[in-house]
Amino acid sequence: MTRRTELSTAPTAHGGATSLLTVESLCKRFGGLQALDHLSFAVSTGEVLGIIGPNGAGKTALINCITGLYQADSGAIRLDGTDLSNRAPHQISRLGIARTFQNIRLFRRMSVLENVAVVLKRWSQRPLRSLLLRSDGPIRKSALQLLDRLRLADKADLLAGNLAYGEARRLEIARALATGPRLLFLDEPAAGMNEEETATLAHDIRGLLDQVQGVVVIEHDIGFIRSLSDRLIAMDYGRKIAEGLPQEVFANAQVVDAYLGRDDD
Amino acid sequence: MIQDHLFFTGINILLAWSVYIILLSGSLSFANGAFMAIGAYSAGVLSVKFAWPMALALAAAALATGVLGALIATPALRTRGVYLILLTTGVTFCVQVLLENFDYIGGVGGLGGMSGATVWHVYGAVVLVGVLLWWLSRSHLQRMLDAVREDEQVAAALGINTVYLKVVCFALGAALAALAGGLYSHYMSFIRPENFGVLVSVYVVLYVVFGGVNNLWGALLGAVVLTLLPELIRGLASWRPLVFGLLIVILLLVCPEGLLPWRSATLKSRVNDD
Repeated sequence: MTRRTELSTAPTAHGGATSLLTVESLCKRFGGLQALDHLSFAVSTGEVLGIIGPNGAGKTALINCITGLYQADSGAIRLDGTDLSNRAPHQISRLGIARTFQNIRLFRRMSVLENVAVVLKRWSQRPLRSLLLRSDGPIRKSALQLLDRLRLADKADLLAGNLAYGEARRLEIARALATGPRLLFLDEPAAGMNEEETATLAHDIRGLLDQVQGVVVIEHDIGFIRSLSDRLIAMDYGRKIAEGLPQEVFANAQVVDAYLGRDDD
Repeated sequence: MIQDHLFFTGINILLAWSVYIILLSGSLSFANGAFMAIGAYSAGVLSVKFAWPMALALAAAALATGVLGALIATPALRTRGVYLILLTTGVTFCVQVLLENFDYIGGVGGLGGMSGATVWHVYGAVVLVGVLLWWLSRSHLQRMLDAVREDEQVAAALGINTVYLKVVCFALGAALAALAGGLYSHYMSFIRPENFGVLVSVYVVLYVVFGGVNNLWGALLGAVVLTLLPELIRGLASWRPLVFGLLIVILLLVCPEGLLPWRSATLKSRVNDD
């Protein structure tokens, strides 16, 4: 009975495409600040969804709620129908959501290779059993493959803390991929990169879609997010103010106001 | 006399490692003097009042203290940093007072009659624990613990069960401290609550910080140096504690990460010798 209901409702949420993630009326308040205000949206399978908004619009708070770092005050988050609220961060990760951090948070005193190896899904779920591993071979191979993908294989034995800025951002992505995610959240992946690096990164991110089922990118760089995203959501004061194709969203008067400031401020 | 120094050095190595194991997951414990006391008394009671063989008494004491450690850790590890230090120090105070007021184990007067531990037993334990820690240091588990220590939030967000790892480390550290305590009581043959004051907990942490927190050799060297150093400067008579304290301060100013600060990578991109 229940199963039949689920089958009939699941695929209809977003224009025919299957919803990978659905967020419904999410609220989060910090003291006097409403960081998220009844925010609803969905991520469809196979898409790159961009989220834009001025500083303090609640973008990072949104990622932190979805990945379990913050507990939302109300609302629902579902990954392919599985409720994510009240789950610990590591459980949410194991269900298939990975992320990078806006203020690069690598394990700085560990090597580049170790940063990826340590969170490889197959081995990180059974920590004590890993004591009995007879060979590092498979771990090394999987980790190097991911580094290769983000063009970091030649840096494998460097300390993560010694990487250049753009490399560190790419390592954040490689590390997130190591958890075997279905959905990947990138929090300002191009921050601090030059134009050339940004263009390559956009190409790299599109290429991830053969490995993950969806990517959500938060970004300030308008050119970058416009070229990268299939769909855009604009946020301000914790609310969704626009949603649609990139050109539609950037034509929206409210979005222009939020970015360029209002005259009546 | 020499034998006593050797013995206490071995005990202190075990205690330093018990702090090191907990520190692997990023928690600093000032409760290991208390775990040592619990191990010393419970092993002592088992062998004196129930006539258990020493090995069995030690194993039971370590196991029970490990379980107790996990029970304490589960709520205690919600705190971190300076709050965890205060909380674990509080545990040490509580345990000492409990022991003093428990007549069954002699109260303030102490518990006597244990025997059987020798220098060989202690160094057997040192070698065994050392080999296990060395095995751990090359493992995937070590890597995961390093990640938890570097950034617990990130480790959790990427699928590592940080709470579980921290509780396991705390329990294992407590068990090892209890083993050291059990060996201590069976060598001394008489123990009193005042043997396990808060200073013991502080000293043991100092061994690890002094030697270096990033590898198992640091804790070992720290324990050896700080156990034997006071004996070497015995000629200074009443100035000894002052000189000892000054030496520690100077060393930590010169090498703030301890004597052996290095960490070796757990995985290399090329397969070399293994």
